[in-house]
Amino acid sequence: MEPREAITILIECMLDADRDRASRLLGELAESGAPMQELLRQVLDPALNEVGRLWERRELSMAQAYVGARIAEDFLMRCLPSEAGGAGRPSKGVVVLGNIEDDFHALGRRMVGSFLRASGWEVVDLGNDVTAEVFVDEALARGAHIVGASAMMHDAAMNIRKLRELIDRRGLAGRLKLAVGGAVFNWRPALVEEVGGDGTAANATQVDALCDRLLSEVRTEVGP
Amino acid sequence: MNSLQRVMGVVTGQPVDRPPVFAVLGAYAARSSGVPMRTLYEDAATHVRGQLALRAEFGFDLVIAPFDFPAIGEAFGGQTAWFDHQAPNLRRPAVESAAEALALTWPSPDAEVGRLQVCPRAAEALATACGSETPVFGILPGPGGFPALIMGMEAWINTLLFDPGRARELLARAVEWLAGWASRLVSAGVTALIMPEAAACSDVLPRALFLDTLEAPLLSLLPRLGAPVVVHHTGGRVTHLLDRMATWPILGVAVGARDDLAGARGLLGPGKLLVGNLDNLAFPGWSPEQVAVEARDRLEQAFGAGPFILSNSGADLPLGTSPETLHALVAACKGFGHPS
Repeated sequence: MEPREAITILIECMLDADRDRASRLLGELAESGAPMQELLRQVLDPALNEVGRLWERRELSMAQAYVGARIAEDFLMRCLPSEAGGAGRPSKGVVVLGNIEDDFHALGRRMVGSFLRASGWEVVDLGNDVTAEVFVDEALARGAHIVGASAMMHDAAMNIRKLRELIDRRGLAGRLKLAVGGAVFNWRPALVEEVGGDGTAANATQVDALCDRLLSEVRTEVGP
Repeated sequence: MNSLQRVMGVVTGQPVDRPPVFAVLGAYAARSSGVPMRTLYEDAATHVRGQLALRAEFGFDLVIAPFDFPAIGEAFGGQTAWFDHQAPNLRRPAVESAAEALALTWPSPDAEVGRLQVCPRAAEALATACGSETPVFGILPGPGGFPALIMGMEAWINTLLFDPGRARELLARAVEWLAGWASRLVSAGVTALIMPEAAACSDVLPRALFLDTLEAPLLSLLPRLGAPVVVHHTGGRVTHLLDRMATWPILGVAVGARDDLAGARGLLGPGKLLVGNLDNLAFPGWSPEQVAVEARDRLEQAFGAGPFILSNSGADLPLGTSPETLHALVAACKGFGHPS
């Protein structure tokens, strides 16, 4: 099967929420002798890019994106049994994710984690209701240069300011970047600046590009 | 003309003195009265005092029973997170899977468990205190989102997408529970029910999936509710389903800030109530002058084209919204002329 055909089928699977068909597709591709890591680059990445474009144009629902994330995880498990950053392929870096203090809307964060893993990042997921101190301590312990703080509601999002203040107070601004996201930032983009975010992404599929940019900024500011 | 006459007039196509206007002011009562947020949601009498005080101060045309779905999740065994400046949220659901949710003993809607009865008690007291002059709305979860209160959103979405048998079973039980809960609220005296249904947003589920999985359970529930129902967008867009909603046995639809009001009226038809659609998150940043401009814009689009209530689009209005902005919102309606 040509990659173009596989990409088309995979996108259909994501839009139709047909995880079984995606699994069968992956099986067929594996049996054809295609190098598993190449499938990530030639099939999964382009499919996720298209899904991201649809989401950006608001032509994709959260449920379809969720299916996309699950399918991406299925691909990842089959293609890289040792997880991103393991023996399968080099890690792009470590990202520490969590819902900020007082926020309990986990679904978006978990989807971001799935897409980041599929893109080659090592993800440390701290869960819900994470304080600024835990974010920073865990990032330092894991050698992360990016923390991703998620919030769905406005009042909880304002707690991200505590994380911004802590990063600055500890003198980490150059080497620890703050990515922010969640529904409220899509509704009010100005909030990114208000809470001190270094960047945001409109949806989970675009967080890979955001992290690429933030890591590049770190390397520019403090060196590799 | 009092608020009940005004709202009923709009709904039935009769002349009214001015457009009715509403804002979801549940948690806002904590700001206005200085009452701790937890007390507001734990004590029915405190909620009622808050609603009556807000009604007296601003003159909005509806009051609401507590908008407190975490109280339902808590009654099933979940844990509530409390905040100083926003409504409570569900910290942890009772269970983590559909199988566990089905195995769980569900509380009766009449059960004295946790804070479950705060809502109907508050509804009853509100109906007694002002129901003859101001409509009292109860808030009823839609069946498409209800299982998430028991098992969390991710587990529910996962079930809906990948485990259709269990999803149908859960939805069938949800419909039974919600019919009982609605009966409790209607017995308490609510004028109508607002039904937030997150799954009806195009941002959450595509149209085909909603129609395949959730429309039938919803349609089986609606005739059993015993009160007029307004389906609520919960923050997203519902335009993709408005042609279907036009056929549902409902009073109307609250549309999101990104739905087009004129387009919504076209899809809904002339008879159903339309509620909306001032951007909830913009309120804290709006000056009184700005909210007046926005209000007039919506009224010019929608009032006169069919039954319409001007409202914020979202759940609770952010507490950062100034009282002056709310006064200006009501004043904009009072100054909008006197259509016959």
